[in-house]
Amino acid sequence: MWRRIVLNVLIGVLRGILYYIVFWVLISWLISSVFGVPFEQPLHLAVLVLGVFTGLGVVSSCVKSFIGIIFSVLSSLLALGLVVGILGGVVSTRLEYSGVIVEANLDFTPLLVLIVGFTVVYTIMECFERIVELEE
Amino acid sequence: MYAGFRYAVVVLSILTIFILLLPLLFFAWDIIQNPECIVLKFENASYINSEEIKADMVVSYCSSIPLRNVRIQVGSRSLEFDLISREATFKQEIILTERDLEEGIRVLEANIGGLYRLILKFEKA
Repeated sequence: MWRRIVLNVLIGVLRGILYYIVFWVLISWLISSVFGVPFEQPLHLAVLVLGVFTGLGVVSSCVKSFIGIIFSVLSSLLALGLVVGILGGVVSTRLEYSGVIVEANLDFTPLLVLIVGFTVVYTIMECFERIVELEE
Repeated sequence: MYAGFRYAVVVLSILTIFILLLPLLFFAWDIIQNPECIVLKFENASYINSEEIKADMVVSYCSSIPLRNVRIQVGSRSLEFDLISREATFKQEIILTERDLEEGIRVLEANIGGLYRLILKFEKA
């Protein structure tokens, strides 16, 4: 019994950390390194996001499967909210070159749409998997 | 069964994101290798009256990733090119005032590979 609870909590924590790494750390790193724009987020926000992802992950894996689906979907919605809301689809930077100030804006909406699309597909498949588990 | 599909979706998403990033990476690489990749020149300039000058704007470009829907604003006048590709020069006539020439190029907009909209605004420091 206790072993199962600890295992579920561990799975939930790992799932939360995975979501945090993919949707907070990895995507921010990808955007800042590919587009060459510094992308800094406040530490308290990062801790809050990690906490919420971990919390949702733990609840999702500890409660019964049909309720857990709701928390999994909430994790994905939070991830989508972060991707769309914070990254926003446009990166901007200002630089000086030979006495001229250049303001550069790059719209990467196609990339963002792709990430959102795959996240939605992944979430739907996760839900189906849980429903199938529930029926078995 | 669904776990297999999920991993397939993850692998597919990573591959697709990588493929979608390729035009941008190639463009950035070409620009880093040759900072003067996009060259804008005025040729055959001649006065048409005391205030206005008629000239040809010539654009040459070095990257293998084509630029689409290019808009160049010189002073208050702008001109557009549907496509600018590698190793070809593109010419378009433009009528400018002396003030436009003094202000120079203010905005350059282009779709990198038809995907990513890049807007560069220039201001004198």
